[in-house]
Amino acid sequence: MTGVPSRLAQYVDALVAGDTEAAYAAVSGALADGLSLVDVQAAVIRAGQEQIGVLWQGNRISVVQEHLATGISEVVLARLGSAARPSARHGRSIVVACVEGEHHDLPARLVADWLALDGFDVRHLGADVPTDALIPALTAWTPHLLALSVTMTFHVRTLRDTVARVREAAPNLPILVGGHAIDWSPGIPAELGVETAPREPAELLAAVRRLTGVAP
Amino acid sequence: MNARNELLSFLREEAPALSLALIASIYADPFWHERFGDRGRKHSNADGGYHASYLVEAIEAKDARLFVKYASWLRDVLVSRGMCTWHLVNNFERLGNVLRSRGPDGIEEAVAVLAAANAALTTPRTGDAQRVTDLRASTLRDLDLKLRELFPSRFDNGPPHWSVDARLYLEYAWDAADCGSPDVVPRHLAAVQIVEVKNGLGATVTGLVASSLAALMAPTSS
Repeated sequence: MTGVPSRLAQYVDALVAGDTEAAYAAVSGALADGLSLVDVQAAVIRAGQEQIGVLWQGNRISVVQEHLATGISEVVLARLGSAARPSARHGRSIVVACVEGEHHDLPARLVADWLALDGFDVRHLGADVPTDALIPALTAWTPHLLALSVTMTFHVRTLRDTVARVREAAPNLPILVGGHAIDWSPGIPAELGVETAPREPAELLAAVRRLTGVAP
Repeated sequence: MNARNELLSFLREEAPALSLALIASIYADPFWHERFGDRGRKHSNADGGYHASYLVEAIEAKDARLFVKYASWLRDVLVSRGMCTWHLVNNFERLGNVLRSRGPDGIEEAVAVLAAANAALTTPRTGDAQRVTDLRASTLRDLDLKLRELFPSRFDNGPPHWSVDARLYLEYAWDAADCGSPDVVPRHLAAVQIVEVKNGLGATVTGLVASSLAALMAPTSS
């Protein structure tokens, strides 16, 4: 059986080459190897994107290649999603959103997919969600949990404002925050009185089940 | 407004413009446009804004490590694209001086964050970088003497001063050793050579520097 490191290398090579079919073949191969869909998303797609970021940082690939890689990963995720079989629904709804100004949506997309696969009803609002629009949406939908994603540190101020406004509108709504900016500032969630979204899918799902009252 | 809010307000509202003005003064040195062109200027301006944004966040989170992480990440981006650590360190030093001269009471907190970043950036990550640090003074002196012999009117009618600034070559050599990328120096020398040839000078500086740095850059077991 081909190991995860090999599938990951195959995936990254495909992203660098801009080859969508080769990228899909890598993740299909990982599934055929016995990896779960969630693990493929984390250990191949997410890990692959992180390696793409390092390659751009070191000027090994161009910004165009980096953008193309993200586009390919989005296509691959969509194809995987169309074949997915979610678990029985919990009757719990989650809103997943990137804070206003935050355009890096892929991490939030992965979280939304994992939650949907686990049986949650997910509204994934995507990138750059205006806070002025988010608040009334939360009031109308009354979700069981809000997951906020912030990648760039200079959007942490927007995160603070967003959490404060959500607290005013929905004081009992559990809030999870995550993303690269939280990795760099791990004290922010505690400062804001919210929870940190665990990085690993199993832990993330366990945290969301706990916060929404779903049996583990 | 209390002192902390005054500091944050100053950093949000005035630091970005001060940072941009500093970039403009840095670009008065023809090295920058020769080496990186208009595209480089555009990215430098964007970076100037990011310096201010990350500084604000580090102050707000009361955690200088946040800015240090940003600086370390940015250094690797810049060195892989033809700059050297010293350029960023110099930028942060000058930004600290500007903030100190214009900022409110409490500005030293921001200056300290910049200083923390510079301390991290200038700490050698490898034994080879430490060796370059140790041999810096003697190599710099020897190289500077040779360049002065070659270009006695270096800043007047000679080539752009950066192409005969021995210190800058040492900084690139330090980066090559520190990030384990032996191509850092040859890439910079190739860029210098283009300017030299354009100025009708042949490849005099690059050959001289290459031989001077050869011993310094020889790999060691550490």
